[in-house]
Amino acid sequence: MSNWYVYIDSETQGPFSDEKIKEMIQSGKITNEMNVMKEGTKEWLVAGAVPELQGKTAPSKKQSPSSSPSQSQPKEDFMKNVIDEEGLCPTCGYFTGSLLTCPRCGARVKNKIALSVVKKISIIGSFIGVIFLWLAAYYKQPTLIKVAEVDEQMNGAYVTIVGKVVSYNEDEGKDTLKMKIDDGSGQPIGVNAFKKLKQIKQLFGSDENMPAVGDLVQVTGVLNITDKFGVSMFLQIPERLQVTEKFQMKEIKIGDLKKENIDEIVKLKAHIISVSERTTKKGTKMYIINLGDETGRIGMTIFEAAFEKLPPETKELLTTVGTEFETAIRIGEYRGEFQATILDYTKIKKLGTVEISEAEAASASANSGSSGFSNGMSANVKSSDIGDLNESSVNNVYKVKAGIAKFAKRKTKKGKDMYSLKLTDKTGSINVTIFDGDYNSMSASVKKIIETEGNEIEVALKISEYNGRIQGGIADVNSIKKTGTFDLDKSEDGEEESPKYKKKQDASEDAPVKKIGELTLADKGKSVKIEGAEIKFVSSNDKGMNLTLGDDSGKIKIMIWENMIEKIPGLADVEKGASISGIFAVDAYNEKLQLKIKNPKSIKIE
Amino acid sequence: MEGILVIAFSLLGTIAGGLLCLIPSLHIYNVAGIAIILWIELSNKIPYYTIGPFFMALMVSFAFINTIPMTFFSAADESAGASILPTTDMLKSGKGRDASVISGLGTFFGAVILVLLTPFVFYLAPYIYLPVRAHLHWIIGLILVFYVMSEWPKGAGRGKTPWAKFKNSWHNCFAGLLTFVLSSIIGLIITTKPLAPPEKSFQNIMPIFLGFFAFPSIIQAMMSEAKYPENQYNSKYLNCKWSDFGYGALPGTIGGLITAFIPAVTVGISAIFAGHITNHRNLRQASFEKPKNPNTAVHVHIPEIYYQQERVFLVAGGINKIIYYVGAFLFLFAITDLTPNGMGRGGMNILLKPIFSPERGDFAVMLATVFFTSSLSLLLLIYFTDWTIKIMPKINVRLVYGIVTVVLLVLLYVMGGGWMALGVAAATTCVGLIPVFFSCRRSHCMAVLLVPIALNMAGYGDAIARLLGLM
Repeated sequence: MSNWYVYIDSETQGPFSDEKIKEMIQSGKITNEMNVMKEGTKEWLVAGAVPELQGKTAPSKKQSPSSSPSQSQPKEDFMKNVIDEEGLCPTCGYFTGSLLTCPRCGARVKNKIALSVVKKISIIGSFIGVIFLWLAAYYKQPTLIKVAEVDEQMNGAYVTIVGKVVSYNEDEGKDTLKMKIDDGSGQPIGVNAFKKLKQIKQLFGSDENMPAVGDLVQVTGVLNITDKFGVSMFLQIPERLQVTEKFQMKEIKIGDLKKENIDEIVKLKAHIISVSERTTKKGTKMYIINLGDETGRIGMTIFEAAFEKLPPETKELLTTVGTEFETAIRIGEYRGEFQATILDYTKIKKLGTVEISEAEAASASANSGSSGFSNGMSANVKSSDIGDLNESSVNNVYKVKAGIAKFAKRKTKKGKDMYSLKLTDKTGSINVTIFDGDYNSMSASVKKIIETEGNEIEVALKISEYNGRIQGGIADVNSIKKTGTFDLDKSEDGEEESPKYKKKQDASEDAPVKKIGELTLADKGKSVKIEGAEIKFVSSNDKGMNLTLGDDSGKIKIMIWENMIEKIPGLADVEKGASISGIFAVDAYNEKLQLKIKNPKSIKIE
Repeated sequence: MEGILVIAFSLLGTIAGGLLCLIPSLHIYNVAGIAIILWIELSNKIPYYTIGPFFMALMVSFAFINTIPMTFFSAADESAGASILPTTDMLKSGKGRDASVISGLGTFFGAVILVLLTPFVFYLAPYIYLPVRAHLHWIIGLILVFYVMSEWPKGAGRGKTPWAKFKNSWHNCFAGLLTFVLSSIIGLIITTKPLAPPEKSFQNIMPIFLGFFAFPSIIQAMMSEAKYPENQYNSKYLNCKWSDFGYGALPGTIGGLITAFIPAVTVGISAIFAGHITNHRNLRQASFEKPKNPNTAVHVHIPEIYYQQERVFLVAGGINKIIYYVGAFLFLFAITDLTPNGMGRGGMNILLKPIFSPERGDFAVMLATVFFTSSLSLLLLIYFTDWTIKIMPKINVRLVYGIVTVVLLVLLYVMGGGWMALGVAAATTCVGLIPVFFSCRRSHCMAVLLVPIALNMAGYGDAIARLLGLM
């Protein structure tokens, strides 16, 4: 006598005795396909395969619940089509898939990977994996890189950059901080902290501790590289910005300014001598402010757009004659004159007011059209003969004593007046162009001096070059002095050039061949030869063309004015993808390198 | 000459994309990454203006040809579940060819919609894009909430004890939540402190996606005991009606536009949205008949409705796919005064932006490339489908998967950043296995991008970084 367990309706029933089992078989409650297990054993068997029960069971009349109305094929054929023998239970032939135990007969299906094992691996592995990733991130140190090393594959890289802040801008409205950092390797990189300004200020505590222009900072963030805007960095976490060295600004007197101080940031204590408004060629307003201290004077220009953004108290401070203040400025230069640019208009410290004498104010106003002047600059100017001026003289100021061989009034392409002087000494000649702004700022007596051919004058000239020829501009209208008369008959005719002048033209053809990526801010002002650069981008406007050139080392922009376009064959119709070679002058605008056409005859477009 | 080169590179992109997309589990973004590296090396020899058409052709051919591995190799990426699900059932019934080609036709229909409608969207989109941009963080948050809450218990409540019944019913929902949470944590870790070395950072997302989607699919497929049934490839007809395209157009277009517009939302998520918006899932209701006798209800199950739902699903999925993959990339070229830098979305934009910036006139060239490449890709799809059906019974699928696994691991090591990439892929594979074996949605893994993006947009990214101690 044995007892049996039966697996009916998804549950184990029993134990039933032999008789009971037979009754259930006869009544049809147990069919051939059902699973039975003898008490005392652990093995489920198919009822139809048990010899003790053989012949006593009725065939099943029920359909398998797994069949669906949509299947028109017999179940066996269907199963044959979709599964192979390895997917069937070896005992009852039921489809088991990846299950370890047959759901119908309970038979152990061997040589399978248990699904439960895989599930456990996935859960446990997930937690271990997340912990591993967290640990890896926790101990990861960002890579210290130089901006010059960045390439296109580093988009999204987590890096640290150490460099000097060259520009700094807070936007309280957008809660954003933007600055540019120069690590000395190439172009500066922009660092943007969107919606983080308040947190950064809280972190640094006070304005004095905040990063400022000139400070050495260490920034860690994620690089963002785009073809259009170049490389920048997102600063997501304020704690990743550190000031490693605060910039110690030196205080300087205006009279002590030298050419080496250009682009430096210094602390200036000065008072406002005069304020005047002027309209630019584009029709916008600008404010010319002359500042002075006991040693000299310096000009400052604020354009309308920037002026309108200033708080009212700052506007009042900067437009009140006699106001003495102290602030950080960057020394610049314009047409041979030093210029001051206030770095942060919110950090101007008013010291008081001083009295400005009428003579001082009048003298400053008279020269306001020339964007300010500096006595100190004129005092430091070297003298030179015209024949000694060459390529290396460009962008420098020299005191020249020469006779006025020719004076002429002309019109520019835009219809404005301009004046040209031809100055001649025993070594050579030079053309000097005076624009109407400078001309109008001259006193009547000075005008008379320069309009009289045959006068010998001493003047400070800013040397420049135009179309490969050296020319001069008046650096300081106050420096024009009549020193005598000049014998017109002995003067050389206009077209003859001094030997050194000619050599200057040839010298540009010896310009070194360089790749775009090799150019740095140190090359500013120099000539370079670029060969086979591809034109990546072309846009035109009424003033000229903007091109982006590229080679395998990098890209650079070039601005070509309208009058230059006509001189270069094929340039007006040039398209993206064309190749350009020639001699260019390296320039920079807002710390970003760009090129100018040095020698239009050298430009070849293919 | 320029025109000829554009056509030539479009052709090259179509063929390259078509052939490489046949490899199961290899995503187009991995292929694009390799192409970008090659382009950087050859940038002196390849004209700059061919980049756009080449990568556009790559994307278009992927949108078509990836139907084949998803149908026949079950190599599903996250999009597959909501764009091509009926193909498995159709494959078993011997209708694999129908499944693949109907989906391809839907994709072609989507390409036509894209080409015809995009110029109009060009004028509308900036006005939608600009105001929406500032609010994307909570839009993404809402999408996440809807997505998590719309998963329903799939278990039948089997078990002897109440706990067993509860577990059986809800295990998939909790598994989905677990996947979501773990993926979010991984995403927050990776975005706060990317683990890839700097020189491989442009592919820093590759180990994560291969781990979440590719490797679990491969493991699942290799564990499967199923053999592929015979499918026919000789028929000159498709079991399809033109009305199926009409039904499928709206949900497909809506889903595709949602995905193309909102960052980090993919086809799977948007398809569910679109399905609910357009109610196209409830075609079955049409099967109810009026009762013949009063006070009785008759539910007549009409098989044709069921099959029509399958076809509509495939058509909508096909449209959704191309509008997402190609439309998101196409928006990059929609340069307007309001959007001077375009409105591009999607992985291809992120991959290409260091080396390519479009200009105003490029949009027309891209539209032409989309249409040209779509036509070619549809032909390729039909040919490749027939070829796949012919060779499927003869090849050892497990061997194919094994080779693909080795290829992906090598790719991961070389392009993803060495051992760290393999470690990240291992961790994410474990997380990716949860949806596979606990029957929840794989799209929960997209929390790896959605959650960090939403939190960063809302300004809480740094707070989370502090919480995780990853300063």
